[in-house]
Amino acid sequence: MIFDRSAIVVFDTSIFVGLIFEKIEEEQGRALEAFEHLKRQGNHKLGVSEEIVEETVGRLWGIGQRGYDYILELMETLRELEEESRVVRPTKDLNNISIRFPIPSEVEHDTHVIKTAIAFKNRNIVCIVHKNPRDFNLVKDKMRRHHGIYVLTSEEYIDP
Amino acid sequence: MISKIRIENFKSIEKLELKLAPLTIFVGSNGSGKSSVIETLAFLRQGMERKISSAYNAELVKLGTFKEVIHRGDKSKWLRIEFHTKVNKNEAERLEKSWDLPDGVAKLNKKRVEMIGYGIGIRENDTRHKALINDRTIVEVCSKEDKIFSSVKNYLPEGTLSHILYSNNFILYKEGIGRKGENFSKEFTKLMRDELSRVYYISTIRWLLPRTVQISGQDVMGKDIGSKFSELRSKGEEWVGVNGEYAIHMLSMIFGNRELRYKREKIIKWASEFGIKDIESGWTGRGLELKPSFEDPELKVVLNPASAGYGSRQILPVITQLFYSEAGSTIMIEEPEISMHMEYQLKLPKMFSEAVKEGKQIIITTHSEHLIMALKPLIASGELSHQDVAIYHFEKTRQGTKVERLRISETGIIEGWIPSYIKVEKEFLREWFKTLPTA
Repeated sequence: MIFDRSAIVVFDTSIFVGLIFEKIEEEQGRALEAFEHLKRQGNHKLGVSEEIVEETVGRLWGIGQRGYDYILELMETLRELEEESRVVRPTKDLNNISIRFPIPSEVEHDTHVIKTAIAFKNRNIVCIVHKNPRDFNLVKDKMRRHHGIYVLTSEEYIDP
Repeated sequence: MISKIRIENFKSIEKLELKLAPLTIFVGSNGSGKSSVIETLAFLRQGMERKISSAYNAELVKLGTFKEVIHRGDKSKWLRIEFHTKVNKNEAERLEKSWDLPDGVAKLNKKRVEMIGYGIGIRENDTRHKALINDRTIVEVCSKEDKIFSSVKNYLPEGTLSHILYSNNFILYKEGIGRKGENFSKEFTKLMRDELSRVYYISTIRWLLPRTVQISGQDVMGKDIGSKFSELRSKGEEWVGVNGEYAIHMLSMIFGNRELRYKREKIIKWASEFGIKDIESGWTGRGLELKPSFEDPELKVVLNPASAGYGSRQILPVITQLFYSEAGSTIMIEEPEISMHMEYQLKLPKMFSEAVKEGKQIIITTHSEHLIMALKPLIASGELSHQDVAIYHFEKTRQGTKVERLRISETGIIEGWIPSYIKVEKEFLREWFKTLPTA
């Protein structure tokens, strides 16, 4: 198994947005399943960057939802993990992170997610979990080869 | 219903034009200029019966002096306020029938009359008034010199129509002049005066409901409200007062009049929604004293509304005004959400929507995210049309107040959300983010 050891899991924004909607709608979707799976893996930590959190809430603002409800929902969702110190932020500034391969234009809008994962790499096992195979599959192999980072769909993360 | 206002050089506003909707909402940081827009209409309203010099400080707003309201304190500038109102078919026909204007003006306004407007320009020791049809100036006069200005010079011989606007009042037909344009002037003036006389203003402080009201006594604000209210009623201006000080009078009058049963039912319904169940008001039987009561919805005891929670007390005058006022009234309310738990704040748009359906125009300032949020389901369900709502975002910049109309979709989504709320929420997120451990 890839993640028998401790790992840092970086959720793509689509997982965060899906997570909040599924929590509010009380639907058990893929995002919530991925989150519950992470919670059960005691040695997995959730890695977040300011950019990912802002984009998550920004997407909700963008579709006209009020911010605070979702910020509070996000914090409530993460609270249990936070209490166990399992929500972490990178020490490095994403502006100083370099990606060792050219980013395809289809994935440019997810550069901050990729940079967040790289920022955590150091000595950690890191994976990106996403719901967007069409774009992320374009960088999957390169991320593994150049940065040693796994790129997984939520299904692959839950059941590798 | 006021359809448009233009403001120049008033407080933090250098130049502004706003199209108003049946429900217009002003949001933005403190001191960004939201209330200033409301104050301009209140200023015009209280100037109807007064000299301009006395209109700065009266029953609706107290603005100080010209120097205090002119943008950046620059007394060389003109303070201009203009408002427009749409006229219905009957009013347009009446106005057109009275068309005894010189040919030039008639040519100028060949189109059907759809909107009429009035504007005032004030500079130290100088005042100008103008009348507009379909957003075009038909006459502009100087109050002192009885002189006609601007484009109308080409259409009107000097001195012809100056009586549309009388020197010492904002809008007043001067009886008995009998010159050309008199009938038109009379109709025009009546329409503008009617519009302004139905403008009501309720400020943020409105919880000082008296327990009882002695008709000839003093209220908690120290005003002789009995005589004041009689005076207002005699003029047909029935208003709860800037601080809700006449709310008990109005409620007593409404509850004591069978013809007002429909209004009473509405007030009971909405007061109940906001924690004042089965409200009543009327004579105590001890002479000239009015006393209101309601049932506490949980404890089932009868209480005086002055003992209700602050949120309920704050909203009672608003409910009274909203459902007492006639269709066509413009009700301006500062922060209707004051002292309210979010549960009550969420109910406000539904109440406003009901008043809008009765033909009232509502202008509010607010800081309540809940109030804004609660618009969405009303619009999405079709209970309130997105075209009936205008949300303006105010921001104070070095150039003065900057205002942006936020787009609302047919499903009630405010596109891009509210800029100043996002700014605060982002800051809140950043602070939270800093508390996370690093890895």
